[in-house]
Amino acid sequence: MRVSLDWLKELVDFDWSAEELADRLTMAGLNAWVVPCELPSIEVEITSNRPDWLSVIGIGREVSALARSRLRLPEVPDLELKDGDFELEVEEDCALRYFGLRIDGVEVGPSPDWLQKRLLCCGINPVNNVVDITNYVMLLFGQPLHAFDFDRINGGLLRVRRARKGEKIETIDHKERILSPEDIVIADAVSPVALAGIIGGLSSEITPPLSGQGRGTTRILLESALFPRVPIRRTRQRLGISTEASYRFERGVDPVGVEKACYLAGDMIVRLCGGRIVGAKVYDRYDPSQKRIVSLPFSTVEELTGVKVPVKEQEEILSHLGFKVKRIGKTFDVAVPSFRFDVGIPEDLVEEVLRIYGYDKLPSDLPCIKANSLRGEFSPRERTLREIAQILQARGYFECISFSLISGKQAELLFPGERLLKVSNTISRDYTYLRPSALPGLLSSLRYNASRGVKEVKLYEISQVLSGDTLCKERLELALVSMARDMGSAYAQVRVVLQDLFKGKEKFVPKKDRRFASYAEVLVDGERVGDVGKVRKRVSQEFDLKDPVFFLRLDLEKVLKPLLGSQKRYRPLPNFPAVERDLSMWVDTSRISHQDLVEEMQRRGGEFLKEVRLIDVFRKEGRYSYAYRLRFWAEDRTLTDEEVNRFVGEIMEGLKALGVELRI
Amino acid sequence: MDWREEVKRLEKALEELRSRYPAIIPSGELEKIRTEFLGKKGPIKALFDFVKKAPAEERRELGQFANKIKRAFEEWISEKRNLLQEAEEEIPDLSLPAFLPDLGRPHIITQTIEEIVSIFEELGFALATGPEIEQEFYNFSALNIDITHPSRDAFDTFYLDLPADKEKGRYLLRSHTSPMQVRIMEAYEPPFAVVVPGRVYRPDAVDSSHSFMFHQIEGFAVDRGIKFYHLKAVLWEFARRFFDRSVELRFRPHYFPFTEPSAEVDVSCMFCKGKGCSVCKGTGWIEVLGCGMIHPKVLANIPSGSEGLTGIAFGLGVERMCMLRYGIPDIRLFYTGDVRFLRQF
Repeated sequence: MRVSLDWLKELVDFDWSAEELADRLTMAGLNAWVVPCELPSIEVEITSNRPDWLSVIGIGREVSALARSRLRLPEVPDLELKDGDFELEVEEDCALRYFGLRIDGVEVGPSPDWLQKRLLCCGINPVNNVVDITNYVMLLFGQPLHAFDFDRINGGLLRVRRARKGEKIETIDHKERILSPEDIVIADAVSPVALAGIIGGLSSEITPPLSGQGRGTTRILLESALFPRVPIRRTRQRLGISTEASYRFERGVDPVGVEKACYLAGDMIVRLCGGRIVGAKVYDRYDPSQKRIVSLPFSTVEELTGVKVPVKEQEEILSHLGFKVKRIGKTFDVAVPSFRFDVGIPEDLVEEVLRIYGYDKLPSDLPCIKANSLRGEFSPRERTLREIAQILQARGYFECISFSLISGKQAELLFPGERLLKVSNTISRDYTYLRPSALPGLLSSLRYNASRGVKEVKLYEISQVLSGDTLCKERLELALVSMARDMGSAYAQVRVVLQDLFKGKEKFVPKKDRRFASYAEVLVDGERVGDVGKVRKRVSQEFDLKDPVFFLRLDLEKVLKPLLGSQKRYRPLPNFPAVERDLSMWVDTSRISHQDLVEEMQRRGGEFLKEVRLIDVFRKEGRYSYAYRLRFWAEDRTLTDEEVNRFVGEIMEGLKALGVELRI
Repeated sequence: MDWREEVKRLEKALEELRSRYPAIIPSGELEKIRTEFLGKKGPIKALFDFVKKAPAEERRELGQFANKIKRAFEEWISEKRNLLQEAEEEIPDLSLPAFLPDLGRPHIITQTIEEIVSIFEELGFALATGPEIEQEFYNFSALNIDITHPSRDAFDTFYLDLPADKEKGRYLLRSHTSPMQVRIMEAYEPPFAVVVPGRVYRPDAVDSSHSFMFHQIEGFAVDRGIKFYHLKAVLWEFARRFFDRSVELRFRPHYFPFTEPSAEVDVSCMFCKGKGCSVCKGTGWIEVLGCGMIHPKVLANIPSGSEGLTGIAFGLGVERMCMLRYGIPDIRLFYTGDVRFLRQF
C-alpha cells in the first residue's frame, strides 16, 4: 500500500524525510520504500498478520509509536439514522456487521482535485466522486466500502446470502462469473448484485449522467460491512480475482471501523456530491464487550530477549500502538485493540515493544549449548554417506541434483506397472509423479551433457526417493550412471564402484528386464541391496542418448549398515610367506560366471586359501580365458608345497566338475 | 697401412662425432657407431691387428697410440651412454597434462550444506534429517500455521494424491524444513540444538530465481534460558565464518507464524562492504535468512511439556547462499547436471 507523507502528517507529527520514514518503518518490521510521486510518498509491504497496516491510520499509528507522538484520529460525525426505507436480510454467517446507508439526490461527477491527487498518490485511479469517496475512506480506515445504484436494486431489497449453484453475475470488470454455494453474494429480489467483499456487479454500478446509459445514478446505497475471511478467500482464489477489498477482508478488517467508515463516507458524500441521507438498515452481530486481555510482567521482555527496556518506555510504546495498558503490581494488563488479530500471548507484546524499541539494541552473546540429546545420533550415518560419496568422486563421478518429480512419460518408460505417487496440484506435466529412483533425472542430465558435446560422463545422485513398499514412505537411494563410447568401459566404471564398496562381497543375480539389458540384482551378505544394468536402446533413445549407458542403484538404508565403521573388523596379517598358485581356464560365460568360479574355489580351497584374485581375462575364438592367482597362508607356519598342492588339486577337481577346461 | 695416417683419421672421425652429436644420441644410433668403430670389423680392431703384426721396435709406440684412440672412443661412448641413462629418469615434458580420469566432485549445493552444517556443529548443534513427504499436521498446524489464513500463501504446497490421514491430515511435499522442529520435539527430550538440511518443494514456476524444488537448512535450539539475543550471536558467528569475518548483521522485525518475536536477517553486503552495489540493490544489505524465538504453540509439541523452556529457530535457503557467494546468476544451473558447471566447484 502507498501513502503520501502529507496525509500521514494530518494524523501524526513527525519531521522525517520520506527516506528516513521508510527506513524507520522498515527497521520496525513494516518494509517500506520511497516511491516517485507528485507528493513525497512511500510504499509499504505488509506482513500477512498485520491487515491494520492496510490503512493510513494503521501506518500513522506505527509512525506515532516510532516518533512517540500522539495519533490524531479523524473526526467522524455521529449520524442520526432513521429507517432507510429498504429491506435488508442477512443469512447466518454471511456477515458479522452490515451497515446500509441510503442517500438520495446525489450528483455523480468528478471529485475535487485534492481527493483525486490523494488517490493517485496511493496508486488508485479516480473514477467519480462517489466511488472515489468510498476508496478514500477505505484507504483511511482499511474498511472496504461499496456503493450501489439504488434504482438498480430490484424490489428495494438487499439480501446477503450464499450463492445458488450455477447462479451468474457480471462484475464491474465486465466478466461473467459462475457462482457456487460457497460464495457470499449481495442479491436483490432477483439476482446477485455484488460478490460480497470482493467486487461489485455491473448492473448496479454507480454511473454519471450522460454516459450513454440513460440517466445517471441519483440514489445510492452505501455498504459498509464485515464479511467472514475464509469464504472470501476461497471465492477469490477460485474465481481468480484479487481486489483492494478482498485483500483486506481475507486478512481481517477491524470490526469497530465498519461503523466509523460508514458515517465518514456518508458525510463526505453529502458534502461533496450533494444529496441527503434518507436512512439506514443495520445488521450487527458484533459484541464489543469481548476484550482480549494479555498480562505482561515487566520483566518478560528482558527474560525473553536479553534487552532491558525501561518499564515506562514499554508502557509508552504499547499505548502508542493502540493497546490500553494498566499497571497491576509488576505486570501490565494489556487490552488488545479490535484491529489487532495477531496479539494473544505475552510473546506477541514482547515483539511489539522490542521492534519499536529497536532490534538493533539486541546484544550478541553465544549461548552455551551444554547438553544436546541429539548429538551423534545422525553422524555415523552421515559420515558413511560422505565416505561413499568420496569413493564415487575418486572414481570420477560428479554429483547431480535433479528434480524429484518426473513426467508421466518417464514414469511409463522406466517404472511401468509400478504404483507411483502423484502430485495433485502439479505445475507442469513434466513434474507429476514422485520418483521411485533418481535414474530418470540422471538420464536427463546425460542428455543435457551429450547435447553439449560431453559424451563420456559419470554422474551420481543421493536422494530420498519413494519407497516401493508403502506409498507414503521414502528411502535413501544412490543412483549412478556411466556413459562411454563402448559398453566395456561404460560397465567397468560401474563395476568398480561395487568392488570399492563391497570388496568382493557383491553377488549378481541376473534377471530379464524389458527396460534394461545386462541386468542383475546385486546382493550383499545374501540381501538384495540394489540393481545394475544397461539402459536398453529403446529407453535411452527416448533421452536422445546414442552411446551405451550403464547404471547402478543401491538402497542406501540397506547398504549403510554393513559399511558403518563400527561394523569393520581387523583380520590378522600373514607372518609367514604365502604360497601362490596361478590357474587359468577356458570359461563358457553363458553357463558359468566369475562369481561361481570364485565361490567353488573358495569352497574347495581349504582354510588356508585366503585370497582368490582375477589376474587376467582374454578372449580367443569366441571363448573366454580367466586366470586366477590363489594365495594360501597359515598364521603359524610356512605351508609346504604338498599341502598346497592338495588344495589346488581339490580346486581343480571342483572346477572340472563345473565343466571348466583348465589351461595349465 | 700408414698407421699414423690411420690414427689421425680416427682422431678426426672422433672429433666429427663430437661436433655432430653435442648432446644425447638415441641408443640405437650410439650402438651403430660403437659397432662401426669398436666392433670386430671396425678400424680399431684392425689397428690392433696391425699392432700385433708390427715390428717390435714400433709396437710399443704403436700400441700406445692404438690404446689411446680406443680409450677415447670408449670414453666418448660411455659418456653418451651415461647421458642416455640419466635421460631415462627424466620426464621429457613435465607440463604435459595426464590422460587419467578426472576426480568427480560433490555438487556445490552439497558442499555448501556440508560447510554450513559444520559451522553450526562447531557451535554445538547436531545434524538431523527427515522425510520430504510430510503431512499437514507437521508442515502447518503444529507450526501454528492456520490453513485458512493468507499467511499460508507464502507456503504454497504440493499435495499428494493420497487419502488424508484422520489425525495428521493430507499428505504433501514439505514446503520447508521446519516440520522437523515438531518431529524432533516428539522424539527427543530437550535440551537439543539441531540443524536439518534438505530438499523442500513449492509449486513455483521455474525461472532464473525460482525453482519448485530447492534446499533449506533449519536450525533450532530448545533449552532453559535461551534468549532472542543468542540467536543474533549464533547467526552473526555463522555469517562471519561463511561469508567474511568483517560482515555485519542486521535484524529486522518480521512475521513468521512459528516464531515470536521474529526477525529477518540481513548481512552487510560483502561485495561493496555496505556502500551499495547491484548485488545488494544499492542498500548495502542482503537478506539472508529468517529467524525468531520458537512460538509457544510450537513448543507445546514437546510431549513432556514446555514449562520453563524457550527456543530459537532459523531457516535459510541454500541455493540463495550459494548464488550469493559464488556469483551464480541462474538457479536452474544447479539442477541440469551440466558437468561443465559441476566441475567448477
